[in-house]
Amino acid sequence: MDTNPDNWRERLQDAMARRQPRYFRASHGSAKGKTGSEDTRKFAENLMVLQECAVLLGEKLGMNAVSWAVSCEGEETAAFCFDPASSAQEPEVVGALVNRRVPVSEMVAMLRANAEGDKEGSRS
Amino acid sequence: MSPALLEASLDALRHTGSVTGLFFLRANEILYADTPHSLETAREFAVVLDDIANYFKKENRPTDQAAFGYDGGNLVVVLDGRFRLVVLHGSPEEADAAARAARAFLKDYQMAVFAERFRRGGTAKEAWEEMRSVAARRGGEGASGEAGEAPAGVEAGDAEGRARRDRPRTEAIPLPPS
Repeated sequence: MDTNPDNWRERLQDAMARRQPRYFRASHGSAKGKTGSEDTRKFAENLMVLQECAVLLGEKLGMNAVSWAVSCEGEETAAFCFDPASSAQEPEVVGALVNRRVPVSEMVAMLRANAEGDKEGSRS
Repeated sequence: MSPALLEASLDALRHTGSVTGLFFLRANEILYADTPHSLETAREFAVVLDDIANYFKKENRPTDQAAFGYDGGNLVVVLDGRFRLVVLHGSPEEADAAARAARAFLKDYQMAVFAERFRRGGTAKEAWEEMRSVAARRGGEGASGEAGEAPAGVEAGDAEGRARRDRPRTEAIPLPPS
């Protein structure tokens, strides 16, 4: 695991400059990312809020088992989806923050591709 | 755009693609609802969504759109001040189209409010300012949240609701009072 804060900062600055997603993973109540603790904390807060909104709204309409969520806040987009490769007993969430508005379908596709990429990376 | 046309737009959106339901809300007040859910459920949903919107406002987070995918369907919520349009749809690929349509409707609605003010004799500037203040106002008048007569167009999934839907619409979506 890369513990060099300079690398985190550089990654964050690069992602912000190029308006590319910063990806994170969350499970067992904690989140991990590669763009520094502050960015990861921001993602974790967004994740909690989005999950809560999803549950509250879905409950009222009889819709359960959230699989993904995407929110736009001005020029920022936050999203998460459950990693289908993770086990039902220990579900993992893949999420992202990006400093531009991204269409829902594109955001979910990017998350799933990132989850798939992580899986490939862990195999090799 | 007249209130009747606005309602026709909502009806058209409701019967597009895999859309299974539609809510048009002002704070926790239902202006239009056409969903398989009961009126009580619709009201509870409106209250929950209003609470969520107020939370974002309190946290100074300008969230204007959210989309969710569930096992049993999908939801797109577009927020514009106190107005919210919620689209329930079956196919997750339609989320972006639903969001675009919802946003376009909300813009049209705001413009209709503006035009109504103007028609009632104000200057264009006064109409515009009043429209913006109606959209930006929090709490106070208009946010009834009280149980009472449902506005025309609210579908309760019952026979009366279906009959109302099949009748030519004469009641229009209410524009805020001047």
